[in-house]
Amino acid sequence: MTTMGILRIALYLAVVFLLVKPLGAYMARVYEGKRTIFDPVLRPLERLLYRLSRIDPDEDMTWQTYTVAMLVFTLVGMLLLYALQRLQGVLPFNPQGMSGVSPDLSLNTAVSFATNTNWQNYGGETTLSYLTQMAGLTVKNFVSAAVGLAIMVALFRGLARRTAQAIGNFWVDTVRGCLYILLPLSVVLALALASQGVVATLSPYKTATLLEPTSYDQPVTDANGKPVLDAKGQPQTKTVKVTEQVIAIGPAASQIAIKQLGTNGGGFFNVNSAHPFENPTPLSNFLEMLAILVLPAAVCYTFGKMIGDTRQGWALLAAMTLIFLPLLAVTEGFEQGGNPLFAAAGVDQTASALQPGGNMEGKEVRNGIVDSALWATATTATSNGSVNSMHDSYTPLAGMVPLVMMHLGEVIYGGIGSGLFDMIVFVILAAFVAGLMVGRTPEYLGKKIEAFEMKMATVVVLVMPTVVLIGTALGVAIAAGRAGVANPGPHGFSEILYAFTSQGNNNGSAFAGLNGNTPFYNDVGAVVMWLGRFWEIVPVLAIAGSMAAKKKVPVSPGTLPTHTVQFVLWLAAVVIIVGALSFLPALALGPIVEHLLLQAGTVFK
Amino acid sequence: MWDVLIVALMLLLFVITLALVPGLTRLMGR
Repeated sequence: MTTMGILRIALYLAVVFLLVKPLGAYMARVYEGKRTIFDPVLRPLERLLYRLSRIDPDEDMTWQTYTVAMLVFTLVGMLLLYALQRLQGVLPFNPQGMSGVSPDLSLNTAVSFATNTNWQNYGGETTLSYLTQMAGLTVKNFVSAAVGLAIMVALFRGLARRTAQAIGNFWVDTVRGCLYILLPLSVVLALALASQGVVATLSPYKTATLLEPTSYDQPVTDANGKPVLDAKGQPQTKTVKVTEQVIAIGPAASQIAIKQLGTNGGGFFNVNSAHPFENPTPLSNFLEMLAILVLPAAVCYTFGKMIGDTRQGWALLAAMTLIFLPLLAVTEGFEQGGNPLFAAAGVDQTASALQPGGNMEGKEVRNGIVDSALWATATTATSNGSVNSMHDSYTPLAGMVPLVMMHLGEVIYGGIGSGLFDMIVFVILAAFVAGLMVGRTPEYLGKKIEAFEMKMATVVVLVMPTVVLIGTALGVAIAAGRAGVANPGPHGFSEILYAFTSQGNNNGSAFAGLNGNTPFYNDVGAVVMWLGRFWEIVPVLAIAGSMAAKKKVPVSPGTLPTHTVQFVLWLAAVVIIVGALSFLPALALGPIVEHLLLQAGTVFK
Repeated sequence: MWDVLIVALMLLLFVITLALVPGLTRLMGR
């Protein structure tokens, strides 16, 4: 990697970490109901929302009430998004005349955006109306992110309160997350992106006449849209001459801002932030990358503030960074190293003033190796899922890093809110195991860890691997699953594994190379996304309720300190061990064997 | 027809998740 590349990564991480404390402290104030600089504008709006919705903001909810409110809110939003897609053909703000989305694709997209996954089996510019993008997807981007934050602060309260029955008010937490955190940041980022050239318009798509007309072979289809085959059983094609190009535009800037900040990741355009209208300049690329990581990192400080011990928050951030940096180095190193078969063929893959070098397949030349690999690592460390390059084209081990990031449970910064509450579950596991190993009382922040918390922590840790591996097994075993794969051999397996890993972890990034818009992938994916999100959240809220009801045990010589370097190392080890035990066999069948075969010169055609 | 089945699937996912609440409450013992 070049010196300039290392400096760019260092600058990026420095800005992220510099923002952790001020942003984290601000978020703590928001969730503690303290005064903020936006109060003169937003407090009246907040009160109006409560009045209109008949919400009592002073109600303190038990974990059960909190959970039911969250589930009902999600269900209603999901049904509305489903209806919006199905009916978009007869609704306004549809200048391209998009017809209603098919039932199975509508299901997948509705669950995807309700679960903060934002997996996209559709192409935004070819499938959805402006109304669906704005009133459906963008709204869900805000509320699903705010729900993640709400669950997180409910867990914080469970750890901070003593002998309490309640963990906060779901409605207040969600409204405050949207109004005071996501909305102001999104407005600033949307304006900044628009200034860089990200499109923001309700005008119809533009048509341009090509300076150099081109032609291509198009499959011939029958009246039912099925390919017509020739005598040899091959699809018939006809040559089509192209003289014009339709240029898709739309209200993108506002959606891009929240898709990055809310760790949503669903692009306005099909190729996401690789599209020049979604990510046009180096500055827009930097701002969008910054938005991926900044909130998931800052909530660590929020945690410390809300439990009254910022050392605990810094310890979690340190453990996350300890795993993030080596994996980032792996991605950057293998991508910069390039393809060994190209090297054998005499292709120059060396970085120089004239070229970025390395493996540039699937990458924008303007982003090069460094920013593409940094984005790929950050977007899968968090549950963002936006992309500025195609992970399918990465060298096998560099492409494995996004998989590993997700297989670790997306706790390396993780999704907005969800990353930290999952990391705290790992802390409970680590503290319990370490406590037993060294003869200390298993406790965290003065709360004893008992059988119920351990059972719930185990459920949370096991749900994701279970749904991911069952989904992948189905994809491999069933013809409908194999039919979606573009590549033979281990790479094809990686494509299926990536699809279910991304959906089961509510990440949403695509490996590419897999045709996911089929009834099988739409329906099974929807179930995987739902279970991966809410079968983790409900046990987490149960832990919050259980912890809130406990007394605080005073610190004693028997207390296991959880803010030390040793504990940070131990926590990182537990995260890696659990992830490796769950997924190493699957990785061995995909990217690892592909890497070994590639080194030996074996490719699959 | 497909719409009815898909809405039913969404409701089923909701119900089986909602059912965790009383189940976990009993497991918690309060």
